[in-house]
Amino acid sequence: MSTTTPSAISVQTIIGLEIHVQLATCSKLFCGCSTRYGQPPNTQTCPICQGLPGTLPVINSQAIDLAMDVGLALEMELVSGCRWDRKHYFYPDLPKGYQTSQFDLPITRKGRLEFRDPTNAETICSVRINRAHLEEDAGKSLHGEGVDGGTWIDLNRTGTPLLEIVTEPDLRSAQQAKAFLQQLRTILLYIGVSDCNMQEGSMRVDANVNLRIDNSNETVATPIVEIKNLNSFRNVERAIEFERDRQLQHWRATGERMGQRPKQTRGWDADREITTVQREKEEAADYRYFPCPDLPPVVLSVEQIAERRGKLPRLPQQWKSDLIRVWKLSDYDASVIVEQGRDMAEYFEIVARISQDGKRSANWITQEIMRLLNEQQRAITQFPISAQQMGELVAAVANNELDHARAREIFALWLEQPLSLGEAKQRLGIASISSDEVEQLVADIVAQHAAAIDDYRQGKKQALGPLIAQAKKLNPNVSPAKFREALLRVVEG
Amino acid sequence: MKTCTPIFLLASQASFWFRFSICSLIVTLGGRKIVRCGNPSGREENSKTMDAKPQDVTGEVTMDVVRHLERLAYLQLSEVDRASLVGDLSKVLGYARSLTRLDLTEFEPQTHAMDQANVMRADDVQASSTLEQALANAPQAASPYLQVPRVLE
Amino acid sequence: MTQQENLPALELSRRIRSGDLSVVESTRRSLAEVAQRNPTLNAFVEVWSDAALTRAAELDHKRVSGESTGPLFGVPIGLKSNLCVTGQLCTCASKMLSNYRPTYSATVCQRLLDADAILLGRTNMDEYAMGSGTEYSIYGPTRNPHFASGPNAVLEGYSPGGSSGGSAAAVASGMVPLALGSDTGGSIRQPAAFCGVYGLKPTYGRVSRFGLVAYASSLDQIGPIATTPEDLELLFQVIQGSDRLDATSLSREKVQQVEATLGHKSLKQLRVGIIREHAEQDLAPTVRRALEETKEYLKSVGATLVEVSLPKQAQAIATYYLIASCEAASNLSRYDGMHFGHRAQVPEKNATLEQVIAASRGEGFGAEVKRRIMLGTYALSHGYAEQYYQQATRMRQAIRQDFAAAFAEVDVLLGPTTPAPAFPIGAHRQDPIAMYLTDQFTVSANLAGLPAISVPIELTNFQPDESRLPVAVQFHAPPCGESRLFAVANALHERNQSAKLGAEA
Repeated sequence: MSTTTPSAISVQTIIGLEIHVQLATCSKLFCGCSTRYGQPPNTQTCPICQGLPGTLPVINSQAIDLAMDVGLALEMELVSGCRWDRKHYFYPDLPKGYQTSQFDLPITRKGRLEFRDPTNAETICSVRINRAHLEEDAGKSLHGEGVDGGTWIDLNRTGTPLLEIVTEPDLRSAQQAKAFLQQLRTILLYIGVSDCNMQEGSMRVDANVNLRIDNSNETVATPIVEIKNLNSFRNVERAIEFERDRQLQHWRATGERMGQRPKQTRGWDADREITTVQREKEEAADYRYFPCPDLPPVVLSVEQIAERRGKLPRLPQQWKSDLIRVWKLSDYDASVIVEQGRDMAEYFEIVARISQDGKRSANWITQEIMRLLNEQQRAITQFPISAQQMGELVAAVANNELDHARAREIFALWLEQPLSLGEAKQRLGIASISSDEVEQLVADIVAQHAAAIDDYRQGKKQALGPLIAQAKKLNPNVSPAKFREALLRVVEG
Repeated sequence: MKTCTPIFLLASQASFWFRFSICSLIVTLGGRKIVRCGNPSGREENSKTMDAKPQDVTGEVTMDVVRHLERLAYLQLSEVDRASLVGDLSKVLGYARSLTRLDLTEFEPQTHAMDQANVMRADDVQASSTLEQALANAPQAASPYLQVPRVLE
Repeated sequence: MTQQENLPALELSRRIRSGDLSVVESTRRSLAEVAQRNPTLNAFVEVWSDAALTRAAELDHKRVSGESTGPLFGVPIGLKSNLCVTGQLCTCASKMLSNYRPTYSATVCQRLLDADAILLGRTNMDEYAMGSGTEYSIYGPTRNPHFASGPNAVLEGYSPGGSSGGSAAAVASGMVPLALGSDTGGSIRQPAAFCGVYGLKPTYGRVSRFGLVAYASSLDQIGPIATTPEDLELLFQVIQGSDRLDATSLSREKVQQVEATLGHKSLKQLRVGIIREHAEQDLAPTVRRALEETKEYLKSVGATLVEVSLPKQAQAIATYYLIASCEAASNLSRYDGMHFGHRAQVPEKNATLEQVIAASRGEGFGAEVKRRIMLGTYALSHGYAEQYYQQATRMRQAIRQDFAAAFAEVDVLLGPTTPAPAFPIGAHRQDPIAMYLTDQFTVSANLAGLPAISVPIELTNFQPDESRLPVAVQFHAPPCGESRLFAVANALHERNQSAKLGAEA
């Protein structure tokens, strides 16, 4: 975003993101240990992920498949003949002293992701993806826990497959960064490659931020700062905003430019809402990358890629256009449903297919169901009413077998008890009534409310409302629409 | 998402054989129109890294080079070690110098002994070590954790 | 017990199966032999007597109850100290791992147990397999069994070679009929040559490396050491084969397919390549004569000798030491004193993690290991990787292509294993290059992934002033051509037997 400041300089925030996504495999990248989250410390390790001398890695083929899916979804090139490299650094949560990663031949590269600019709905942003490579996760350090302030190490997470997605520095505001991440997350969830659970660390974001300042006479760039391990979209947004202000202030104070100091790593302190310096080394890290001799390369054949592409789940964009085209939803309704994730879109599709009424299905879902899920902080998969049941209910309303009010009663009952539609109707005393019964009811009401009928006949159209309410009171099963129709026949006839 | 059932079975090993060349086959996907938001960043021109190269204009391994390597390798040396390494490394690298001067661009780098590819395992969960085994060789442990000296950031 | 009773494994196993000898008896004999000879030789660094005798009793029970018996039934075997066996120390002769007990077994060790072998103990080696003399060891040097004692003994004795010198000395001295070593640049073949026994470096990938503590992963292979070619093949057949835990191990289908294209050749049909560049090297007189006598013999049985050229041989040592050191520097990164292995006690309060790690590595590694870590770190560091590591990998390709061209002409290649017989212990301590050069004929097989065998040669006569130390020749074969090597070795073994008889007569 360009901001014009009093001294007539324009400042642009330049942002690139590195997103670590934990792939949804059952076992780790190079060994058979489970990747389940939240198990007791050091119970999901084996000699291989403990890095014991003599052990060797063997690639998990599922990680390759999931990485291919991401490449296909983000319109990237898949690199046939991708290679494994060792990235050397010492840290106690890295038992081998190197991380097995992909350096110059990542599995996939050069893609892009489009999303609507949150600050200008007219603009579609397109962010270039530089690469996405596979690597193993490190373990977890718990600092200052041991005697003498020692650090505790839990290696359960060590060796979990990660896909690191690296963007080009194409983002220009904190809001754009957040919108990009939301869009990315939606896509990853649709293709099922990760649960993207940020609290559990399945999706972690580092942001590279600097400023481009246009003075009247020159353009300068401030040194790049990497903000590490941002664990919520809100934190991404806040940290970038903070960093933009901090860098501008720092530049005003020192005039320091890119190249005049090494890249700094800062961490986001969510409590104080500031970034703090984590590391600044005079020497750039020398990771001494070299091809891992224990792992043969992975060569993707054209057939294999075509097969994977054929199996790729529908992407959110396709879902949205399908909802609009097949079920005649508005752009808005389709977006709301699709953004909820694949489970919600699938739920909708079942309800719509059974009820054959897309618009009504969308209304029920976006108004009733999503409100409840929001209140209870639950996912659609945990919702007590199945899509089949919901479909039957919407169908009954669509076919005028139920009025909306009675359908809501059934809906409320279903939230409490798992009953069939028939059982619920019976429980609530809902029965279909004959036209004779409706006509009898009209006759009774007309007889009892002569004054109101007169009012209506003299043009007070709203006089009918209380009569309909009265009829529902006398017989809750009467359809207001049918009653109104019969009443009008008598009154106007 | 696939459900994860631990099965303690041997995964069959798929290995495909063919000559592997570093030259990669790129499979490009169908393109669409790109609307870039914002201006081009201009960050590329600034990707200059701080050079960590030990000074080696002459190929002579100096004490500074040895100290630099010592830091890279996290390897504490005695003064005696350092002095003898200055000589030994110079000798060995001197011996290798004729190799570094040859034009070998016609030969693809061979980083593995054999031309293998796609040797993978199925995504099956295998039994992990017990906690006792996991901590058995730790120089220091505070069960259920390994313990290491204080990390000063 | 006398030397004559040291039976080859095949014969020992046959006698045990037939009931002439119990496994317990045989194990006791082996243990007694170790007790008698090891104090001088220092070939074994740990003997697992209790475990071995318990297992021996189990095997005897198994035989008596009529269960089927494995191919190494009751045969005691020595393991190099870089092979993992659950619960046993695996030190790599380094202070770094002096207390390390793996919680898993190497694939080869499991295969030995499945074949009903007795794991007798672990043998000495150069620290992390980096060395050519079995001198760089926390356990002190191993002595070559030849002239280790008696009237011709030199003060410190001769080196058994290395790094698998403990395994070679244990076999040569008759403590065990078989032992496993590992060969990264000649570490099986050179000690086998120095000690007068047979040693095989298999085709890369034929034997699983899972559970072998890595030195240089793209070069390391585990292989057998034995007193006869038959024993060598027996042990090789037990340990070889695809392993799902080692992604670089060759699949069974691949091996069979390649073996089929190699076909079977009798000695009469065999075309033997003589490596011109090796013959031009400065060779000790007895080594040169061993080569000449081998050529004479092969000609006499009808083989065709063809001179071939391997033009890039001169670069093999530099290529090898660069690649091996780079891989070693990487592989040895895991020894940081944090998760396993030696951790230094750093007295300063507020010592940084970096200081503790650096001190642990500084204390835990010996001089030669440090030298190679430093060299490898240099050759992989920013600005040098292209010039050193990558250049070496290109040369590796060139060397492999040289071999491929040679094997288009011939079936096996003949050359020396080492330029000279065993050197006195400590001879190369001051000069790393001189030490590295003892590997000059062996490293190429590792660079090219080829199988190679060292075959001891009994010289038919000696000059009066000549060293009587063992000498050997080496044969290379194309990938998966081990059976050619065994065939040639078997023929030369017969020749050796008659030469020995001739000499004794």
